[in-house]
Amino acid sequence: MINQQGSPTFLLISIAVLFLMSLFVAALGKRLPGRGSWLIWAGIMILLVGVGLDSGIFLKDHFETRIWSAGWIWARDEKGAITLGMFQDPIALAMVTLVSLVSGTVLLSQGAFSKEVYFEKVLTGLGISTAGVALAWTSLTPWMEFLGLSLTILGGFLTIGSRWDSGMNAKLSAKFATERSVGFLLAFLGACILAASRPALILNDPELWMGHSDLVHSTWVGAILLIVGTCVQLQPFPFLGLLVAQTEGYLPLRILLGQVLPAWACFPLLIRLEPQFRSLELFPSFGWVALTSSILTVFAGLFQRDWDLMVGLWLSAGLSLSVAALAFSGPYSAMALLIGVSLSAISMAGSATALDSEGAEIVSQQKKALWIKAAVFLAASAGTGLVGFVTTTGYVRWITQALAVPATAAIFLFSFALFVFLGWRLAWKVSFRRSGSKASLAVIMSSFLLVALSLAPIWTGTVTGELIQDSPDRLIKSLFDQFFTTQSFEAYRSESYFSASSLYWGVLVFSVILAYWVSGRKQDRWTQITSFFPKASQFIARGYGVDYSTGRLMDSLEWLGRCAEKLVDVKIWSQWMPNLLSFAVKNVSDVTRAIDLKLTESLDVSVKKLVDVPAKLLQLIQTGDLRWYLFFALSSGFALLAHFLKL
Amino acid sequence: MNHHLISLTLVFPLIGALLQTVVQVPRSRWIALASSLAASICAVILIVSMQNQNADLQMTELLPWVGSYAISYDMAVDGLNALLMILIAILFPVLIASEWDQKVGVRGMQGLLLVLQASLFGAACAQDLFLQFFFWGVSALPLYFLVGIWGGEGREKAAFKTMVAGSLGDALIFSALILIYYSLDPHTFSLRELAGGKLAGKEFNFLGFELSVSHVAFMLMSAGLSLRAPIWPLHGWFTEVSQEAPSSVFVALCAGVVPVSLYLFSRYCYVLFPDALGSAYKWIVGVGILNLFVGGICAMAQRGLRRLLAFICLSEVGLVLMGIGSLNPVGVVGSVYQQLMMGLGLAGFGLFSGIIADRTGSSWFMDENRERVLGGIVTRAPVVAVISGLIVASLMGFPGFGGFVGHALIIIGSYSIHPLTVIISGGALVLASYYLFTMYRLIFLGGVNERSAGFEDLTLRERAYMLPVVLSLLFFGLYPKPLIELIRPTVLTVLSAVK
Repeated sequence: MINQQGSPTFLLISIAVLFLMSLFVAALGKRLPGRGSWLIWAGIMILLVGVGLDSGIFLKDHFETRIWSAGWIWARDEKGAITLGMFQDPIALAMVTLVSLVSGTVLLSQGAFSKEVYFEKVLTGLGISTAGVALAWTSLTPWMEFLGLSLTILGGFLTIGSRWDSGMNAKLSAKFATERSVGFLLAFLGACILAASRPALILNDPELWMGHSDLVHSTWVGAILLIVGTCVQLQPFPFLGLLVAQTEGYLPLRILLGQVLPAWACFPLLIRLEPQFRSLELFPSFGWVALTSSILTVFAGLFQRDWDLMVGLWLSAGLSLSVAALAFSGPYSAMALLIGVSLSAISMAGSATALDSEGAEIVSQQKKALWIKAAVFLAASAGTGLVGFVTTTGYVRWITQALAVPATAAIFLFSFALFVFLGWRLAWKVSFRRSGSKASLAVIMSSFLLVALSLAPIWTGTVTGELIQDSPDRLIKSLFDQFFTTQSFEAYRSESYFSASSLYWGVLVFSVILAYWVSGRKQDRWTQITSFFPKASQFIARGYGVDYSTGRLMDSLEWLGRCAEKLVDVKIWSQWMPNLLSFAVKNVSDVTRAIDLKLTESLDVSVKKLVDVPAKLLQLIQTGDLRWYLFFALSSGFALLAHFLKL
Repeated sequence: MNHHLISLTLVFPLIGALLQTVVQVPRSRWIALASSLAASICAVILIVSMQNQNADLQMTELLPWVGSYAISYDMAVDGLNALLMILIAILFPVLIASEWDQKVGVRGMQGLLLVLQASLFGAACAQDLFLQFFFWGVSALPLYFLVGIWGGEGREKAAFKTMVAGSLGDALIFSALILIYYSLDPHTFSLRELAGGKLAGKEFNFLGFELSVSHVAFMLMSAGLSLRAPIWPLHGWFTEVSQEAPSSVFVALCAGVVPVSLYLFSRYCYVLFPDALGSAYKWIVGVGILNLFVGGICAMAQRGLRRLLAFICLSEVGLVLMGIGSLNPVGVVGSVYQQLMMGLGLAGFGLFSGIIADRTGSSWFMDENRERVLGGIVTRAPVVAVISGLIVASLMGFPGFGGFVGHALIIIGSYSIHPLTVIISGGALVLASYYLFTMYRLIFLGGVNERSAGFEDLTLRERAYMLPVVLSLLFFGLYPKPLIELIRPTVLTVLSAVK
């Protein structure tokens, strides 16, 4: 139940300040050249200070969750409640800190994108998205979460479409907005259905949910829509539309604001409602869907020729894997994968973009290029679960748990192998670029900083990422253990430790070597293989034709709309109705005329009959001689006389 | 005790309209704006003075009018019509300001807009059926002249169709009125006296058949109102008017007249015919979902902003009908709230499409081959783009905007009674996001072309009249509580009569 111990005031204020500063930059950015980035910096710093202050209080209060809750649209204690609320728990504070640090680090490399024509839009997008993610992680209700998600989508829209004067960019940003809005609307619909059939949806209170087992079908429908809507934000198969489209703009920003932050903004819903979804037995099924989706996304990535598109697909596959990890293994593994894969993708994109492959001076810049390539390899290691990164614990936990069901384990290992293969293929492809770099130190540093944030000791407290049994390498207490207090790993790890770690090592090493054999040499064997079946590979690279089919579906709906419009405007109102009316009027008038004719005729006959006898008489009179007049006159006279005599 | 604030909301615009006949331009413009604003201020004071948590009719003004027929001047507000007062109060000063630079017959146009404002205030507040019918009938006249005089090339036909549809509708409503009047003894037109299912069980003889008064009157009134509100497929006149009417007039129609007709329908349903509603609610929801979905599909096919607005209006009407038919406090409160939000959203959409049409020469954003004819306005006029974006976000129901509140309440309220319709409505919302974003891209994003090259940003006057609309959408989206507290008690009371 909600127990209001105090509000996360500083956090709330700092999020609001960051948002307002972003708006300020949007409104006045051009008039304050060069100062926009300082304002966003300041906003992010304020957010960090807010987290720090609230964390201090949090520690002082012995980890007592602080809640701010307010009635918004419909009262909390009633069915259909729509309320606002924020709360701080360890995971919320950690994720807000992480997003602030990531945004700050990307901003550190602003030298790489400050020459963008609409730099202030990019800054605004970054600020708004960061505030959105922070709001999403601290939300107490899905409604507040939706507010955060909307802000994140807005930030992505502003950044992806920052070059609005370019037709392609406009198309991409509109596509981004449409796809994300569709996901948002589905999730919103799901939340509404849940709200209609259950008591107030409170994200930190699974007991409240478990206490009501009525209306199971509604709960199912609502939960499914909520999960689907959330997963759309991760852009796995079949929502690859934007990922397989050609793009412009600074790649790391597209990765961060277009993929990572929307995923981070919707993930709290999945993490917080995980016990509820599990109680509905939805998760194994969704886990399979996510796993299949991840495999298909990896294949789409493998068939790309453009490195920029490949990294986006790799990230999307990783995000799907984290959803699958949530379903099969639990939030611990899911969070580990989410953090590791996301940071790795941003870092990899940043590094690869910093390499210049053209120009005369590249030879003199090769030392920088070497550092950048090292960062790419570190990023690939971080994302694919090499020892020492947070992803290690995610994969190892999942494998350990999956071993209980061999089929699950086999499919997971297959998808893991594919994912590692694609990740290392990306790294090898960068390493073989003959390039130099003019990137600043800050740009290069930011790639390393991002990878550093995904180091295992930060999150698990161990050097290896909980790879060694009983964790003799533990440096500090695990942060993840603070997040998920019920997930004790040691209990089940002891049984299958050897098999799990062997499989982990085996698959990892095999995939890395395979990736080198295929992509790390002068001739790209994968490209050679794909040239044997060009049409099929193009079909997969274009996202399995889903985008094409969606386009056709939309075209048919438009056609249907035109038909419906034509039916009403042209047919019903301009043809059928007038025809019907004129037909009716004509017929009524015809009938009336016919009746009139008949009436006139019968009237004629009756009148004729009626006047016939007197007419004859009159005719006789007219044509008769005088004696008849005399006869009538006399008879009349006699009649009058007789009448008066009687009197 | 009689309050006179409601009467003042009628009197000020009417005085303003009368003055238009004698005062010359430019003073007439200021008089029009001042009188409309004065009425609006009265309406706002009226709403602010209302007691929360009170289901009764408030701010009552009751005077006998035609004693021999028990017709009275009975005006009052409660939770069902309070939000409409706010809508009309915001809408008309904005419309008058938007027609400030009207070159032809500005006095006539503003005078007619003022008459329309007064008649809509009257129709919203009247608690006597005859009085309400009077105001409702009067509201059709200014529209006829506004479309017929200031419209496009096909204005006469459009105005004629509007009038025919309106008159037919009014004839049906009037028949229902007469039926209701004679069904009770003593005869009455008073909504207060007829409230609470007084017509239930009353029957009348027609050609030897015994028919239920409430069911027949309900059908007549529904049919009559559906000819004024755009209900698919009876909306033929509406789409034609969307093409021919001046922007402000079409905005007045879809953001003012349509919400009032929806309000009248909901008041009749809940107050006059609770028994008929009990058996017809599924039909109402069915018509609503048909409107929502067909409106959405037709909107996808549009190439022009005006017709797009017409079909968005059709969809919004469908959503409100879903809420009315939900028979659930959350859904009905949502439908009342959505009447305000759809009005504001459509007004905003209509106004920015009017601005675009004025500056670029037409409201088409695609040609016959569905190729873009506009584009890049965001770089030329960022304020227009931002304001339009906010309005589009509200129409789509993004959180933080008024549309979200209405959409969420209607969906939550409807689900427990009509689960399937809610799923279908989800499809319609998805369609809305597709066509609205497509429209936004084609107009505002991308490269600048010939038509949009000289596009200028909003002038100070335009900013001034767009501001109240956008601020209201934001304010009522972020802080809906006071308004919902105003609606809720009335809704709970009328729903108890239905149950």
